[in-house]
Amino acid sequence: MAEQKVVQLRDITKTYGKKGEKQYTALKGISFDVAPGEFVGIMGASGSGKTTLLNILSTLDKPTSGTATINGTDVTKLKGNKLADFRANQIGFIFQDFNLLESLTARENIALPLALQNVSPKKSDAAVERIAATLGIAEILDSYPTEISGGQKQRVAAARALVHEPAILFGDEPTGALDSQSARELLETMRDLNDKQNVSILLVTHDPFSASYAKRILFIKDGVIGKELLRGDSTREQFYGQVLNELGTFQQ
Amino acid sequence: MLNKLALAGIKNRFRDYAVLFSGLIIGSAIFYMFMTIATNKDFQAGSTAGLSATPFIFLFGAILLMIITLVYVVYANSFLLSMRKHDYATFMMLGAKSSKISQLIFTETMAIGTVATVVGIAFGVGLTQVVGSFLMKTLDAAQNHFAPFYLPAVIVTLVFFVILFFLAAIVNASKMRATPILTLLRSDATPTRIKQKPVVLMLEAVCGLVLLAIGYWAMTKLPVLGLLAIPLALVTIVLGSYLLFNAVVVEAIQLLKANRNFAGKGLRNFTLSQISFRVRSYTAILSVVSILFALALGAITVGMGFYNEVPKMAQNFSSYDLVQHNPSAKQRAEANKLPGVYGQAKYTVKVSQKMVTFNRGEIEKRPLVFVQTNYNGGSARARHVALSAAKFAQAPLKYTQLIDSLLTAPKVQGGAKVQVTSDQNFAAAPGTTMTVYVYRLRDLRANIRPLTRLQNIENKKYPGLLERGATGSVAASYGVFNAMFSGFAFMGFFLGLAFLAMLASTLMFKILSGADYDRSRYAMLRRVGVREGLLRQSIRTELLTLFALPGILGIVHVLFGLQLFKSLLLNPYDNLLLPFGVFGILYVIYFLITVWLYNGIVLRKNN
Repeated sequence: MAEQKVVQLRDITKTYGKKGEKQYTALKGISFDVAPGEFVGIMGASGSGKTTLLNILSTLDKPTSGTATINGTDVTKLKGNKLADFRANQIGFIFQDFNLLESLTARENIALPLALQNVSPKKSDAAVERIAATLGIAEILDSYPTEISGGQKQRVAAARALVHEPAILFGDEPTGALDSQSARELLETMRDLNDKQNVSILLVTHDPFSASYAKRILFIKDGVIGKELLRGDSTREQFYGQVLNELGTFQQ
Repeated sequence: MLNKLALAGIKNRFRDYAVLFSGLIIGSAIFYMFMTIATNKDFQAGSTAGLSATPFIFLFGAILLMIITLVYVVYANSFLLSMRKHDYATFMMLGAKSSKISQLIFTETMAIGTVATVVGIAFGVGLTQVVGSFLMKTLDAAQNHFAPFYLPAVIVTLVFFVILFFLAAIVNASKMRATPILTLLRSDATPTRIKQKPVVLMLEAVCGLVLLAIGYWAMTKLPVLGLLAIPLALVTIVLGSYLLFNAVVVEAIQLLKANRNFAGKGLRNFTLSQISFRVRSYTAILSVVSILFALALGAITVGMGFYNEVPKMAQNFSSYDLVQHNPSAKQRAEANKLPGVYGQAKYTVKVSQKMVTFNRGEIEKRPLVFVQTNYNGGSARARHVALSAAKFAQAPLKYTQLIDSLLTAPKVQGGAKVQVTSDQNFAAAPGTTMTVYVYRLRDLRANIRPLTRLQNIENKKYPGLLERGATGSVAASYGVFNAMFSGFAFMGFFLGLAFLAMLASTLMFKILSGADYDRSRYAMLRRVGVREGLLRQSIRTELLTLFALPGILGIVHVLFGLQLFKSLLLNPYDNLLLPFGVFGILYVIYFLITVWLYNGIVLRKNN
């Protein structure tokens, strides 16, 4: 292997329900890789298994079989504190519902992952300022989440996800709760982060517009990867068309 | 159909309902426990020796407890509502009429309240029985009119709680009707930025301190202010505590947060924010809890003070704890076997109608002991002092009490003269010779049974001793003081325990009623990768602060409040460690239970 993959999934299956009871298999053997600096989108309708997949990737859930390796560590083998630490150090998350702590200001929210690693206040302050400037939220750092708009909240969440420079950024429908303007801005920011700062991103969505920002899209249906789409040299607008086209046939 | 759904909702959240239910049961049980004493006039009259302030104190206690119970039920109710809100909003979304929902909530609140009250009263009867008989046994305080099942108390408790729940049910029903469905579905306690000017905070702190000072001062001036001192102290201390909490705690947390080196580590910043967010909404309850804490701790401390002082007061009445006249060898051996016996001496005394004669040689060898009382301002302190033979011989009539306590009848008080003579003259002195053996005891309470038995032998031999009542012997004065003060001690402990249980439950409920909101916060932290241990530590710190703040202020209240008892107790500040220790342990147990329950609600993984 020339280059270590950031994410490496091998034959992941996930079955809900105990043996002898009614069982439901959400994932039926999924394998794919994400290379460093890649921007991968995962698309699928509700019930396709994409949330289950993301939960396994983000170590919130364990697969029934198969291995999930992130930055060289098999996360299915991690437990307890090691698991929590791995999550804190290697993974950045953005959720649809922001997941900000309302009792903390934006600055405190962003600094939280650094505080967990006991980074000195000086370094932490500098890192927060830097990421806030990148994401264009320097102005609102001392506001509480209830005082800022949805788009700003999601930027704060993105800043919190990136401030400790994780191996990969996971997005779970990050534009789901945003208006179209805020959604476009956020996605452009994510693309910039990917282009200029080489941040690896895995974006799970059912929205073709969001997915069109990725360089590669995996389509999931009924627990298996049904199709892979590469952007290649086409523009985002062209790629968007391809995605729409693909969805039209893929869903049937 | 809706009824069925509502029942299913209860089943799903059985654990939370168990918390609510047990909390309400404890609340009504304690209310009943207090009422068994507060409504029992015979008991009060019997156990406080008809102290005129007693009904007044109980009226105050009852009003206070009613207010606290009201607050308690409001919290319990908001806990109930926070659990059900989502379910009911879902029903409404499905098309249930709001009148139907109101009716459901009303029925649910009333049903839960009434059942909890009835169970609580039954539980209260048992609790009163257990606590009552335990205290009677340990305090050696038989209470005549004390009854675990007391009908007036049952009625008062039932009526009071049913009215409370009726009001709560109306409030719940109208609240649900008035709030838009969407708000119900996603209501979160969101902290809004409260900007307080430093000047206002300073002013609040100063006002708080001044009010506390007035309250503390009022308690030291009980003799001057009379009964007015108690309501004055209560009002000023409640207000003072409130202002102080508001100003100082919030400011202290801001300072801690400003110290980046401290706050920047781990979850500290989050914990501090949680506390400051909570303290703001908790100031009222924290100040009430600090008062309750003071009342409970004060009651137990004073109760223990009375309990501890009975032997001291009894011993201050006489020079010796046991005096034997012409005893048999067997009786002397028994007396010498009493644990902790000391200061034994033998005196030969000649007693006639007109003259009591002491042998100088004997009292030179073993000086007599007398009780010296020093008056210091309003209070008197007594201590046992050895008396030299010379001093005694100079003016024996100054020690009438001492001499008479050695005799079988109060001769000197009856006019007999006293002389101290040498060996030769002693033989010639008039009257019959009596050999007197005296004993002192280090621990009177531990010895009271065998001592009383030995004293009874004496009393049988010399019935005159019995006729002298409390002054006849230490065993007799112990009996008198114990009868009088064990009532106070019993009441102190009983009420102290009741208040403690109430205050801790109030705090517990207030904390638990917010737990539902906090769940999502901890879920977020877990997703971000916070270690489980760190989460638990954060919760512990947060709750510890909420328990410790009123505790500390409460202790200060008690230390000043003991001034109230200066006229009743020799030294109210004696032996504080034991009641404080016992109280502290009970309080810590409550804290641990709260942490456990809170963890159970907040850190639940699924759902």
